[in-house]
Amino acid sequence: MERLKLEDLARLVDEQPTAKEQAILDRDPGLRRELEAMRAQTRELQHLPAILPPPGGWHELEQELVTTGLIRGHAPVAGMWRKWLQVAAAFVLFIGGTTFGWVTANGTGLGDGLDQQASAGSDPSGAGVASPASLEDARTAVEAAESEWRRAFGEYQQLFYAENGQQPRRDPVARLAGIEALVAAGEAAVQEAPDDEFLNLFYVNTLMERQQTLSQISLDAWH
Amino acid sequence: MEWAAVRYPPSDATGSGDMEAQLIRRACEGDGRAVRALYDRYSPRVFAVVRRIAGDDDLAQDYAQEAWIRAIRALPTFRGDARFSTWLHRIAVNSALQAVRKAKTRKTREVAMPDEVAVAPRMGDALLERKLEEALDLLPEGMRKVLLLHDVEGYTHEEIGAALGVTSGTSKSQLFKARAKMRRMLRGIEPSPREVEAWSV
Repeated sequence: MERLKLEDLARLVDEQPTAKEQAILDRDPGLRRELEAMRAQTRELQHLPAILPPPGGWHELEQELVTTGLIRGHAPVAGMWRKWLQVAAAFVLFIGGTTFGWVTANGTGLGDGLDQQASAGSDPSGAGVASPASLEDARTAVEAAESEWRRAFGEYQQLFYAENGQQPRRDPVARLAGIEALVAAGEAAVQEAPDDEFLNLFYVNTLMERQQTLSQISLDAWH
Repeated sequence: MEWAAVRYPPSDATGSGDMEAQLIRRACEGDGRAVRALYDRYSPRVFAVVRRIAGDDDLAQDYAQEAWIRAIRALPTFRGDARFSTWLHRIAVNSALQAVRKAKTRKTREVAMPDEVAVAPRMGDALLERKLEEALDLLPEGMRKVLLLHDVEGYTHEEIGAALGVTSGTSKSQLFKARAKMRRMLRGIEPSPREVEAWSV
């Protein structure tokens, strides 16, 4: 009895069967199932997912690209980015210092020092930053301070652009480039002080922000 | 080694547009941040095709790096006639194929497989995908390349012939053998080398 080999069925995934082959298929439900399985296998192969490269791949590549002169090495952050980095660093130090102060005060009873630090940093009137009675109060105060900082930062931005005769840039790619500068600065800072909690937090936040911006760029292109 | 599978929107979702053109232009000018952004976006796709051609994690890392260097070097020649993702993909495939050819004294591949393949939930059959990846790795090199290029990457037999330096007839023949071998492995008819090894211990 004539049979079709698996290689023949593999061919029939792409090609029409001859009359003879069709007759064999018609007689043999097992062969038809096998052909369908082969087609399903081929369909699945078309949809294999992408694979994340191992971590650290970029750094190796970057070194090679710099060595071969295809990209520039890390240049000192200059000009306007330096200003923004200073502002960002001030933010991190402010929030970090405030949080540290409150936590310390709660743990050791150094409330007076905390009051001075918090009120000096966020609200000249001293309102909203009184000695917290609990961790929850402290968290609320930190959030209020952060909100106040954001408002102040917004005003600073407006004044900055007004004085320089510029408009704020909303381009996500430009934003991404800015974030890359922060990532590079954060990475360098963490390398200098690998155990520093706040520098690590800053670095992680910039990495997350970069991922979100990349996703946003992809979504923009998608729609 | 642990590796993760990820799913991306179709290539036209991330492969075109003014934003990407800006990134490419900056990358051409040697802006490392722009290159990094392109790398972040496309490295999973590049690594996937290179990994499957190499059939080996360590080799895949080397091949992927070589592919990226070639692509960045060739970036000034990218005119935007095709999608960037397509252009990059071709470079990755050609680079990996050339690297495989160069490895004349390639040692017998070990069949160690990644411990886990994480696939985005609710999309695809993770177990089946893992079995397919395993079976792909166990195919003889010639068959694997043809099957990958045709069934995974969508190349025609003529394109495969040009890329591998064989006739389109040879490409077809290898493809059908590869599909059949895959099928035998997937349904357990043909024991994989790993199983043979286990029995012989």
